[in-house]
Amino acid sequence: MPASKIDLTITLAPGTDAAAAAKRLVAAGLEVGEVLDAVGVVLGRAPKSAKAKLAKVDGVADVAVTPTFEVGPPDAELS
Amino acid sequence: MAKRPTPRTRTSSRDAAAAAAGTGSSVEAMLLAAAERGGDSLETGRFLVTFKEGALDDGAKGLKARGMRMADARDFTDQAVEMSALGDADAVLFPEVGVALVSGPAAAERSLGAAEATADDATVEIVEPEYFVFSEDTHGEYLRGFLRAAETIARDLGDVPGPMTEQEEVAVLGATWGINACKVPPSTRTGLGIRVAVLDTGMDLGHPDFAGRVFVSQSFVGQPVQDLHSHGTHCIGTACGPKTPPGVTPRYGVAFRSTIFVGKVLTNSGGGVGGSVIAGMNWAIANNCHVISMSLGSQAPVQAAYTNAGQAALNKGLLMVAAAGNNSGLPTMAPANSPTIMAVASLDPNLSPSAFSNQGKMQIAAPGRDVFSSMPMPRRYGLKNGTSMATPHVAGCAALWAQTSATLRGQALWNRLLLTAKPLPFPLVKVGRGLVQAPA
Repeated sequence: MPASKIDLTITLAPGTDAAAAAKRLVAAGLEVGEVLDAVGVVLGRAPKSAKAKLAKVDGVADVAVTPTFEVGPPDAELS
Repeated sequence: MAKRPTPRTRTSSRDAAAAAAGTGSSVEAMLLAAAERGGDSLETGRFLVTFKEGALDDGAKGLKARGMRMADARDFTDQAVEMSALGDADAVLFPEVGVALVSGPAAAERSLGAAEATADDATVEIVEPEYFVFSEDTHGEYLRGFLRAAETIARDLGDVPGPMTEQEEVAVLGATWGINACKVPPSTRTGLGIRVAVLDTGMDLGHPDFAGRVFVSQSFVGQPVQDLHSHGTHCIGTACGPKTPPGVTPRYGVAFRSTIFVGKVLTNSGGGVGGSVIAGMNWAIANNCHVISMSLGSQAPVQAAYTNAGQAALNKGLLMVAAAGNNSGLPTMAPANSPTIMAVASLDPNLSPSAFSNQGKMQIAAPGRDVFSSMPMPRRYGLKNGTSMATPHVAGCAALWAQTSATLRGQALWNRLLLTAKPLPFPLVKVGRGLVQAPA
């Protein structure tokens, strides 16, 4: 049974061609969501176990689990 | 400019108002008189006489022949007419445009507005009432608000109000404590030409206070940009709200002529994912938004992606500011904790750090307690607390500074904000370099 995937934020090293890096990441098992060229980040999904392999891809500076946020409900005491 | 309403026939209320309508009358005096008259007429009580092509000199002679004391713009250097210096002149000539402004009493004495009087005068193209003009749509409400403000002054001074000084006007018409603390009202800057991106829960795009403003919007969360939460509308109100909200509403916004980029990176229930935030950052950077405001985050260590984004912004001459977080002294949250993103702390009205404000890596502070700003309709306005509210004060001030010089971009803008902040007697980790200040 395939491992469930998690959301990953992959930060590229400065000067890396984002589109080319995305192709390499796909080859390494990443399901690419978005290639954000202006900030040098690729968003995608992969099994947690793939993190280490993705981190070794040429041009990758960091692989992180994409965090979630909460600003609270509209009438929250603090926003 | 207000649209010209259909001209009205003369009434006795107009004659009464004519008394306040001299050529040298201040705009405030005329507005007061109009507000006291009530109704929704936008006439000042004065008249504009437009002369036919080439007939100005003959026309001026004609007015003199009717006994009017004439002033002329050519009496002033570079025709820069000092209206208050016109004294008891009945009319003032504007030769460049071929028009004479005639005082209310002088016009009334000669029945100048009546069609018969001018039909015989071959020099006159048309005689029209002078109208008030406004920069906002809701001019009727402006008049009512103005009258109420003037009443307040009259009460305080125990006297009939004379023309107000700019300081008095600003204080009476009002601004939120936060706008005042950041020295926004005296600023001559508007944010014109500066793009401010606010990455949040979106915006009430139909909010009446933002009629006529330019919005560029994009959603990154699979919901329409329309803000059904309130957080985004409130933050955008602080960063970019109008200079003179209608009625007696205090001014609550900073960069009132900026171009607003609404990036919806949080859902209508206030939640978000880092991917949406990054996508929003990417969009704002790709669109060259000079200031990118983020009142959001997670209590997490520095995220490489955010640091990258912040660096990409700085490289392009753009500035990212983010909220430090509301977890009472916990370390500054991400993305504000990235070295390439400016972290903002919250201050209370007494200018001490708010008890809820995070600390640690901190660049600057701004008002974040009991902040009044816009909310989605029909609520229209409301109060919120948080470093989320402090952040758009900094974003708005950054936009004003960016307008002062094309060199104030990215890191240079960052440096200027810190250099000009008002120092506060609290540790760097709590308030950074101090309270953000708008440029003069």
